[in-house]
Amino acid sequence: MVPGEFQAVVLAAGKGSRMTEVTAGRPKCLLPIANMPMVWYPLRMLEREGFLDAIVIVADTAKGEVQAALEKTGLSIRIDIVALPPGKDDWGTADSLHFISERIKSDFVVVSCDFVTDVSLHPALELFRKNEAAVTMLFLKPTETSPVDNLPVPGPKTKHKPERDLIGINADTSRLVLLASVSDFDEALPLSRGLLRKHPHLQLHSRLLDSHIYVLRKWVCKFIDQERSLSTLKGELLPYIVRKQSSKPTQPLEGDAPNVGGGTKKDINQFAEDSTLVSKVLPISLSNDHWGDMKSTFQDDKVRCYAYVANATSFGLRVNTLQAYASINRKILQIWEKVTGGQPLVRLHPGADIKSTQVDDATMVGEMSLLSEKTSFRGTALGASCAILSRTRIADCVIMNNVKINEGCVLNNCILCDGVEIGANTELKDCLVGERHSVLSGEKHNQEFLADDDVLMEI
Amino acid sequence: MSRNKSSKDLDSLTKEDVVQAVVVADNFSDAFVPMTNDTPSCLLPLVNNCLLDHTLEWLSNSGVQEAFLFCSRHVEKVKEHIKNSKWNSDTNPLSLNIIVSETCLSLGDAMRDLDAKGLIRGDFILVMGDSVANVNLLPILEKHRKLQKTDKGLAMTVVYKYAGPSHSGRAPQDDVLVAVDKKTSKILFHQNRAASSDPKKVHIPMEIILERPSVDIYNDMLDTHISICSVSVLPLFSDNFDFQTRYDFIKGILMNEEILASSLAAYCISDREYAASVDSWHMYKNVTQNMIHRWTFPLVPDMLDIEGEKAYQYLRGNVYKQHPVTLSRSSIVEDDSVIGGGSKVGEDSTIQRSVIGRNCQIGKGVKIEDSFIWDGCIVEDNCSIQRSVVGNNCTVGRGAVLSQGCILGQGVYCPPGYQCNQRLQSTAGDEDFEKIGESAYIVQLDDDDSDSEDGGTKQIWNELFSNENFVDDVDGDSDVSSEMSDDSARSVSPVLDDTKLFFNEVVDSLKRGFEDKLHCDNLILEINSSRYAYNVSMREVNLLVVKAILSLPKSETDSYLSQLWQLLTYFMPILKNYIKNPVAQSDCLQALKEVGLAEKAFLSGVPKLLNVLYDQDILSEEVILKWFSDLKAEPETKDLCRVADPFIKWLKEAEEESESESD
Repeated sequence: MVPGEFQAVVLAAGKGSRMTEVTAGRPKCLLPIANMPMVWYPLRMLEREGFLDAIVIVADTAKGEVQAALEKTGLSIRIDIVALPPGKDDWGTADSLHFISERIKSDFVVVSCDFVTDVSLHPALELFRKNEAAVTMLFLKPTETSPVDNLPVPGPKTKHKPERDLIGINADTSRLVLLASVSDFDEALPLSRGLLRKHPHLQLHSRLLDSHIYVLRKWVCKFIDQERSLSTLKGELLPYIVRKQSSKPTQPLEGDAPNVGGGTKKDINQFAEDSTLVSKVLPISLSNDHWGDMKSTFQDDKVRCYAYVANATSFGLRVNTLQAYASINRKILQIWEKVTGGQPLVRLHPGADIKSTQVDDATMVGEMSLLSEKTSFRGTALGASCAILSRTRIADCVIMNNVKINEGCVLNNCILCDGVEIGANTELKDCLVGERHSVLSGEKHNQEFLADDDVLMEI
Repeated sequence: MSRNKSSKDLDSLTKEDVVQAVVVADNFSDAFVPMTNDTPSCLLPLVNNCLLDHTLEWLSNSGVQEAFLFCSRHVEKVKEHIKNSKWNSDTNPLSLNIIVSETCLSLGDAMRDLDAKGLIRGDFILVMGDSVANVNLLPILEKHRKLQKTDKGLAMTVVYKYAGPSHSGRAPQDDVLVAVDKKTSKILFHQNRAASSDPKKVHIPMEIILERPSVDIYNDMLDTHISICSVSVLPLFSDNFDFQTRYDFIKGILMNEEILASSLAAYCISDREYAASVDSWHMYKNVTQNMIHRWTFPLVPDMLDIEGEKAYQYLRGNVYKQHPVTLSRSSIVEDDSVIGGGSKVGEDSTIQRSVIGRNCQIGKGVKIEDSFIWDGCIVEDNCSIQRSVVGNNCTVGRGAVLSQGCILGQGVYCPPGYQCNQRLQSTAGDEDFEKIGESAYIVQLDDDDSDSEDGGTKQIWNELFSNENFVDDVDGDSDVSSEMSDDSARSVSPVLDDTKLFFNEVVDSLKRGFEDKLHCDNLILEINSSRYAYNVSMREVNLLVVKAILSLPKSETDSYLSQLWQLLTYFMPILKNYIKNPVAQSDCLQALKEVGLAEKAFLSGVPKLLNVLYDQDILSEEVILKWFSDLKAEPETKDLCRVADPFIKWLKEAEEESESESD
């Protein structure tokens, strides 16, 4: 990749509204996965793919925290952290891009902070370059459910109903033709015959996983500036652009004098046209991207969206639900090598005080943590400055920072947030413990969410 | 014991190893009328060789060992043909059995009859007797058997061929759209465009999309009308009497997949292979061209081995000549043409992109383009034949002009100088066809004697030879549909429909109200209720009501204005009800403008109308002035400006006066 060809934007201002139980105390992008903040993973991925710098958009309050957290991780990619101004609550993803639009100087890649993957971006970038695309999206084939997922999700049972996208891709050209939600349609999907004539071999996918990695042409940012009503990328902007591919410019011959109003809206095709050198090359080129009819390359479409579907062996997970968070923590050590591109793993931090003799290979321990004698750990990620007192058994748990667990506890498949204190002789199974909550001694809980009352109120 | 065993072996042999095919000789349609009046469709010549021979040649080439030829119409002719052909000889690898059932009227009947006869015991290949192909069937059969192992209910493998959306081989009636699960090759959805209720959109059931990770939708496949059938196909036809055609069968199976416990698989043949079924004039023309262009190799004129026939010579420019052909010195034969043996072409005649049968006499100065002249025809001097078909033993009189899809049935004598673009046949038949000469009658296809299918075919043979029509249709469609996929159009268009409906409703209400002298309050009530019914915004209501009132007296333009005043005075309460604020006033003026642009008679009444509305305090001064200044900016409203000008002047003066008075 030529330096400066693509800029990278990491969207990390999300609040984690689908997993409020664990995000009450800290920004979602700093949730620990294998003792690394979540946002580190996409940044590491960008670094691995050859990006030299990245813009990270965070919520107004989180800038300092994110900066401090990232400094510790030793990334070599230059990071520019931008905080969204306070005062507005619901920043959509497109709104965020609008906010930094002045910093966008070239085509750019948008990455979500909660995506952990081993997929290479290069095929998607290639597709983008090759076709002078407006948008290229990266999708993953759904992975077969792995046996690890048999453990229940900590916390009270909830019905988890994933949103499913309906994605139509031209099988010959990889053009993204349809982007919608499955719930948009009741009984039948209406497809116009004109569309099918343009894209005679259409693959409809209903189970693809959207990586939320988008490669966008620079003009898309300008378009966002104009279309302020489209506030989210996935929900509004991208479906709009995908739909607009097949539309003709609204008024191709509307004189040369711009109307008196001056501020007339530009059609999306005009945005696309302004920027293409390709428009000069296409008429004299012999290459064509399709066959079976007499139409010119790209069927004369100015706006073109493409989709790259990674093959089924690659891993990718969006950590935006509690279920996904629990699952990534169980899996991360197995896929560490692939996901991070060979980053050495600090499993047991040298600064930790480990007196326990029963710490298995799937356990991680953070800095300054104390693991007393006669404790046992299995498949657990333990954060920094934790203290685990003796005669405690912990299995398949995620324990964040500054957690204190007293003697004689048994914890199975739990998530403990920052500053939790667990009283002696407590048994927790499949539980969530909210920030700074103290669980009293001798209690037994099963599949519950334990937190202070005010946190519970919020949720 | 040993005998028993050997018969068992034989049994397994017939079941497994003998590749069986069923060839249906009739196409059960009247697409080729009048040619098929006394000839079965499979015996129509294509590039001077009958369709059935092409079909059988292909089957024997592709490894079919036993074929059942199913005849229902003109059986004697088929039998006669087979008797005299090489298919009758003992040395032929393809053993041919003729099955006769004269009562069959459809493919479904034929299948039921076959089921009753119980001749077929294993998987078989079902083809029409009008197929032209070179695809090897054995791999498809193998695939079918392989799929059968995983899917016990697999009834039929439908064979498709790749053909892009604007491929010339796609006959309009054969335009299919198929959804396939690529993993299992299973057909999930199959729709024939002609049979679809919605011409612009295809509705794919969500169910089939959600059941699996991905569905492939093909709009670039051509149905070759070849199918590989499991044994279960025949009983399925017997059980379901409503299965008349192959399409019925496919549709029925897909709709009742669970009940019938059957499924269909798709197979797409490679680009190097060819398969097509000649079931319409469109396909006839297309397949002929393909054969001349050698896509059907080895089924090309110079490779055919038919008893008693001399081979064709293949010459430059895709011209095929059979020995002996007599071409006069100044005649020109070029560009994809075929001339059968014994034919003569006179001086100064040109033949382009056409097929001439055996023993034809082409006179002097004849021009033949894009046409098919069958055996034994006489074309007299100075005729012009374009995009037409001339059946066996026809005579085209001196100077006749045949053009644009003209079809002459066998033995027609076209009178000299006659200009024709219709179907002619040689006998009057049962119906009273118009007679235009000795043995020449115009064929009228009745629309009422059968369902809409006939109308379809009629249209198709009319448009057969004009490619432009087809292309136009495609273009027109894509325009519309791309608009449809445009979201702004999508969100607006249904609203437009509603407002239109609402407008019509308002016009009706007002008309009735005026005629029956209903009270205006009741009319307002009526309008309001339709407003809610069609979900029309208040502003649109204002606009449309005014528009409705102004456009009511449309019928007689002479008394337009006098009618308008009557109506206006009557409906004044309605106007007062709706036009209350400045926004509504501008809507009202907008309506005025729109009507003014559409209705010339209305223009002269504009000043008075404005005056009346102003006097009645319906319109205020500022709104009128603003409207007028906007009006001036637009070029197309010049006339309107001109007529409204005096009133505006008056209005301004009055304003100044009142201002000065108040000073």
